[in-house]
Amino acid sequence: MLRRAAFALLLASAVAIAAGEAGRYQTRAEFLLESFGHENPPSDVVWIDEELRATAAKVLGHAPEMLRIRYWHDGARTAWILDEIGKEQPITFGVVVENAAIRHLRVMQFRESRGWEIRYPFFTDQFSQLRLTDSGTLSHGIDAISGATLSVKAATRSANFALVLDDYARRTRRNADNPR
Amino acid sequence: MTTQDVQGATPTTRARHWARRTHRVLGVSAALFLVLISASGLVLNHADALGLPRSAAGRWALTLYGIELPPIDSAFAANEVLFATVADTLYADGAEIAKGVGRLVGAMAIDPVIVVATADEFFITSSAAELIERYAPDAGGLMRALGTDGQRVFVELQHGYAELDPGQMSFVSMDALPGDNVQWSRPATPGIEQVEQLGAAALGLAINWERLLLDLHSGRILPAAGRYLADITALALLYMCFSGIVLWTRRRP
Repeated sequence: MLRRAAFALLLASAVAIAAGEAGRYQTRAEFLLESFGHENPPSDVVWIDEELRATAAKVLGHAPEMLRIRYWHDGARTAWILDEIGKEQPITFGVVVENAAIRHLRVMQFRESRGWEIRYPFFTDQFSQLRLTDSGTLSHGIDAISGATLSVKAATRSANFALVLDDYARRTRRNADNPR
Repeated sequence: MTTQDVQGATPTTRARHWARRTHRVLGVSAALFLVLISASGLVLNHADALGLPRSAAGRWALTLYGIELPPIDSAFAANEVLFATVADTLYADGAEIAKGVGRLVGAMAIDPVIVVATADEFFITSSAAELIERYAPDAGGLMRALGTDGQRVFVELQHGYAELDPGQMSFVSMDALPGDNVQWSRPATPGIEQVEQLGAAALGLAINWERLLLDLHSGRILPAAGRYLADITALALLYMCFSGIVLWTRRRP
């Protein structure tokens, strides 16, 4: 009886570890399908100009590693796939913004050995409906996870930056649609 | 006081004589270490202001610590820029441009950009190797090679081929190539200087000046002997403190 209980406990632990390990949780096609209902929404790019570079340095704590960032859009909804380093390796986040508020955030790929707990809804649900404040920060704080502090910070920075990018993209599109 | 004088003196006088003598000998012996410890301590006290934690000590320091340069996993050249991966990081002419990168399968200059590919990602850079965009297509399989017919970019997949538009990042699969004039990217062999440059860049601040000075300060820069030498110096200094006080308080009027 004791041996069976020990075996069941071992099996449960192995399943729990396997379910939580680092890896690719969602492909881009799956993320876009979830976000827009189809895999091929129109895409566009935001070029990182001086204004965005300065804002990114404030929000992310470093300049973006790329000169342009691709996004997908449909009406008032935009989707962003952003890489942000947790401890040493980049974590890939998918952030969907609608009417200047986050609709949902997904951890698409996690490459480090610790901190993968941020992929679960109990954490990612905190980002829903967050907006940018006048000072450019998130409208609510994010609860930390013990042992995943750097991953939580990376997620928070990415969500904040996605809102900044959405705001910039909407302003750029509006200016292009209504030139003076 | 000579040694003969000491032999005929009282125990207190003899003790004072030996204290003075050992104080002098240890003082001279410890002087070099004192200078070293004082100078390194002074500099370490202002390490942040001097930028020491952010300053790599150089190749000689890596040799001193017995650290070998990490191997180059893959390398391709395009537009006279060497793209290479070392320890999951992509470098262009020794400058880091992305982390979490797999082995390269090719690099091609397609005016006005350079396309670099791994088995599952594209990196589009400017002709000066600034990263423009990183893109992972849902290719439905790993990419094996990168090629061009001079105008278009093609990749060889596990099953068939695909064409990439680096501007729109559209990725269209196809069963066969549209022509037979596709040139495939071939691996490059980095020179010795490039290997050293990449290795040093990959190790980065593994040994920075702050670390080096801290180890010099504590004696850890040498193997076990260094620590014992630092211990002996510390004990000698302690002895000198006490013997100095004793000699001062008990000196003759």
